Amino acid sequence: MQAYMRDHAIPKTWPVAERVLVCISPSPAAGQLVRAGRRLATRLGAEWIVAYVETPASARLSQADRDRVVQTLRLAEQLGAETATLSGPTMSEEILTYARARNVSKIVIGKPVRSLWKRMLFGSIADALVRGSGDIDIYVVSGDKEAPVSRPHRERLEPSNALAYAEALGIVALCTAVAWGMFPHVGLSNLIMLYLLGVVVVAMRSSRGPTVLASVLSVATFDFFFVPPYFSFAVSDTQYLITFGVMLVVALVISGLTVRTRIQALAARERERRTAALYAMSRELANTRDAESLLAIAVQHILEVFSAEVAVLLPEAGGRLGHRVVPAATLAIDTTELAVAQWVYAHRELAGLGTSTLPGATALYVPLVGSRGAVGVLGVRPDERHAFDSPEQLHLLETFANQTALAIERAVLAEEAQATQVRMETERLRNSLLSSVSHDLRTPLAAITGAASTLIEGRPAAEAQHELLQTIREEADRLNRLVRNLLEMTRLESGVEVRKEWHQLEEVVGAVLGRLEPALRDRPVRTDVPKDLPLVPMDDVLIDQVLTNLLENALKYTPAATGVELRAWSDGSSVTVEIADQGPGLAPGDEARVFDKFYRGAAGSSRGAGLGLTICRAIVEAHGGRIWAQNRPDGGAAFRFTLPLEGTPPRVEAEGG
Amino acid sequence: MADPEGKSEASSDQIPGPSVVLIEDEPQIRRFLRAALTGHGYRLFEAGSGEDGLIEAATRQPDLVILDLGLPDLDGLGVLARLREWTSVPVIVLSARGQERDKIAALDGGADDYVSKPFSVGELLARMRAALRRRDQVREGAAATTFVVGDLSVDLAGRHVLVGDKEIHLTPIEYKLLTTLIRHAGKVLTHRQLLKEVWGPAHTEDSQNLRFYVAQLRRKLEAVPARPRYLLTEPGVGYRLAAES
Repeated sequence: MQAYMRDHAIPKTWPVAERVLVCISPSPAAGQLVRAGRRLATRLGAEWIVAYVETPASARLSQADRDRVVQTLRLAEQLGAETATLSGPTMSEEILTYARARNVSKIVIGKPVRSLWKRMLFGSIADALVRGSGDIDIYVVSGDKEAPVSRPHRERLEPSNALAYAEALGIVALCTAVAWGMFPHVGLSNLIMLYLLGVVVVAMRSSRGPTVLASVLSVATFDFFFVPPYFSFAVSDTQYLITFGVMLVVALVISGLTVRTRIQALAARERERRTAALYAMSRELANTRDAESLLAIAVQHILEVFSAEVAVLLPEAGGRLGHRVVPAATLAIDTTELAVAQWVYAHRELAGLGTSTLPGATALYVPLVGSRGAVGVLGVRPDERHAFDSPEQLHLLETFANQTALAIERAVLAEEAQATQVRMETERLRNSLLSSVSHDLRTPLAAITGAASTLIEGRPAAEAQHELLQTIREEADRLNRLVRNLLEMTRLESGVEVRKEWHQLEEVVGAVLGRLEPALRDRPVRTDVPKDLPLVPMDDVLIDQVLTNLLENALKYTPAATGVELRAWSDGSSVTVEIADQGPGLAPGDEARVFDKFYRGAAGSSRGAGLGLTICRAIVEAHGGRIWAQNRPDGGAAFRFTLPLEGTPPRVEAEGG
Repeated sequence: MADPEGKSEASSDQIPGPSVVLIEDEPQIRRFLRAALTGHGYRLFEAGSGEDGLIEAATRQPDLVILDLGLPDLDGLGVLARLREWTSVPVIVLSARGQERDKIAALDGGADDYVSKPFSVGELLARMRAALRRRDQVREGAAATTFVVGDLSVDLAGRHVLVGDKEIHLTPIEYKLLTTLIRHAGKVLTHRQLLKEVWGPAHTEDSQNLRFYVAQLRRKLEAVPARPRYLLTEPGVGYRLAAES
C-alpha cells in the first residue's frame, strides 16, 4: 500500500476504512441529506459523521432554523451517526479541517441554496469544498424539496435595546465634541480617524444595529459640523463625497469585523464552558462505580450548568418507570408527568415542555439512551421557561443525558457482570458441595451396605457380628450428622430467623451434654458455667446447634479418652463460651480457615463435609457475636464464641406465696 | 394396609402384652419396629396411612398408639385430633429433628410424648414404658405417694423433697412445678402446658418465669446444674423429668 501511495503521490492521510461526513444546513431538506448520507455510509460499510457548522452568519438564524438543526442532528444520532457541531469563520474551511482530522474519505453536502448572484459573487460552499478537498470526495446531494432557509433575523448578541442605541448616539456625540475641540488645530483626516475610533468602540460594546447607526451618524455629523459649508448637510466640494463614501465603508467594515469577532469569542467561550462542564462530569462519572453515586454526580453537574430542577426516572421491575430519589434532584413528578416520562422512555425521544410532543408537561423529558437502549429518563424543569428553546442548550442537555446514560449503562453492566461472577461462584460452590457430599454420603453408605451384606450372606463369628452391627450404627450416626448439617446449612443460607429470648446458658449446655451423653461417656468432660452468669438473649435451638457442633468436632478431631472442657464467662457486655480439647491443636494458618465452607482440618480430612463450623459461624454472627479458634498454650485447640448482652433482662415476678 | 393377623400371635399363649397401633407410612420403619416391638412382647397392629390408622385404633382399642407426623394422606396432627375426640389412649409421636413447632403442636394437641427420627429402639421403648406407667397410675386413680428417681425422692403426701439424705427446701412455686413434672414423669411438657398447670391458664406466655424457676429448681436438685440428671431440657420444646435413671 505504501508503494501505491507513493505512486499516486497520496498525502499522509490515507483512509483505510471509509468514513463519510455529512454536512447539514438549517434547510428543511437536511433530513433527506442525512438519510442520503446514511445510505452511502451503509453501502460503503463506513462509519459516518453528521456535522453542523456554526458560522457567524448562522448566529443570525431564526429559532425555527435552529430547532431544525437540532432535530436533524438528533435524527442522525438515531440513525447511528456520530454528530458534531463545529464552529469557525468559514464553513468550507472548517469542514475540511475537521474532515482531515477525522480521516474522512467522503463529504456529502446539500445542493447550494444561495441565489445565483450570491454564488457568482461569493462562490458556493460546494465550490470552496471541491477546491480545497484534495483527496476527499465531495458528493453534492439534492433534497426533494428545496425550501429556502427562512429569513435570518438579525439579533444575536444582547438584544439591542434603546440603551445600546442611546450609547451609540452618545459615543458619536462625544466624538463630535472632541472633534469640535480639536477642529481648529488638526486636519480633517484626523477627525475622520476619531470618528472611526468611536465606531470601533460602539462595535465592541454592542451589536450590529447600533454600530451601523453609529457609522452612518458619524458620517452625517462629520459632514454637518466639519465639512464646509458648516452646519449643513450640503457639500461644497464634491471631493468630500468620496471621503464620505470611504469613511462609511470603512466604518461598516470595521464594525462588521468587530461584531463578528465578538460573536466568535462568545461562541468559543460558550463551547469552552460546555466542554469543561462535560469533561468534569465524564471524569467524575468515570471514577464512580455504583449507580446511586453516578446519578448524584450527573444531577449535580446538570444543576451546575443549567438553572433548573431535575428528576431522574429509572425503570423498575416490569418496565414501568419509577421516580428515583437522588440527592439534589428536587423535581416532583406526579402521575401525569410520569406518563410523559413513560412515553419518552418508550419512544426514546424528547417530549414535554418546549417540544412539539406533549408540550403541556411542566418539565422537559430527555431519554437516557445507552448503546443497548433506553436506561431511563431525565426530567428537567428550567427556572426560565424558554431556557431550552435554544438548540445549543438543548443539545448540551442531550449530551449530558447521553453521558449519564452511558455511565448508568456501564454501572448496570458492571452489576450484571458481578451477578454473573456470583452465580459462577455459587455454581463452583455447588459443585464442590456435590463432590464433597457425594463422597461423604457414599462412604458411610458403603460401610453400612458392606456390614449388612456380610451379616446376611456370610456367617461371621459372634464377636465379628457385634463389630459389624457396631459399624452399621456408627456409620448411620455419621450419615445422620452429615444430613443434619446439610439441611441446617441450607436453612441458614436461605436466611436465619433468630428468635431471641433470655436464656440460662447452663440450661442449653445441659441439654447438649445430655444428648451427647453416649458419645461423651468415656471422655472426662469439665464444665465451668458460673451460677451468676447473666441471662443471655439467644435462640436456644440455634445455640444448641453451635454447642453440639463444637463438641462433636472436639470429639472427632482428638484421640479417644482425652478431656474436653466447656467454660463460659461474662465481661458485662457479652458472654464468651469456650470449648477446649486436649488434641493435636490446629495446624498453623488453619485458625481462620476452619470456618470456611467445606474446609476440613488436615488431621481428619475425610470425616465430615466441613460444614459444622461454617454453620456455627453463621449462627453466632446472626446473633451479633463472634467466633474464632486458637491453639491453647498447653496443647489442644480452643473454640470460642461470644454472644452480646443487649437489652434489659426481664424481671421475674416475685413469688407471691 | 391392615396388619396381617399373624403378627398379633407372638405371645398369644402367655399373658398378652400391651397392644400397640403403629401408624407409619414408611415400610422400612414399620419393619424394624415390628421386629423390635414384637420381640419385646408387644402386640403390634400396623397401619400405612392415617385413615387406616384411625380404623385400626377404633377396632383394636390399643394400649398405646405410635403416630408418625409425616403421613401421606392425613396430617399427623389431624389424626391426633381425631383420635383425641374419643380416646385418651397414650400417643407417642414420631417426628424429624428440627421440627420443634410440630412437636409442640403435637404435645399441646394431646400427644403424650415424642421421639425424633432417627431414634434408637431403646429410646422408644423407654418412652413407651413411661407412657404406659402413667396411664396405669391414672387408671388406678391413686398415684404413688413417693416418687423416686436416682438420688431424688419426693414424698408427695408429706411434702418432703430429699436429694440423697439431704432435705431440700422448696418455695411453693418450685414445689408445684416439681409435682407437676412428677405427675407427668418421663414425658415432655411444653412451656405452655407447664405454665398452665403451675401458674394458671392466664399465664401461658410467661416462658421467662418458667425458665427462671426451672433454673432455681435445678440448682437445688442437681449436683451439676449444667449436666442435669433429673430435670431435663428439650430445647425449643419444653421440660422432662427423668423417670428412669
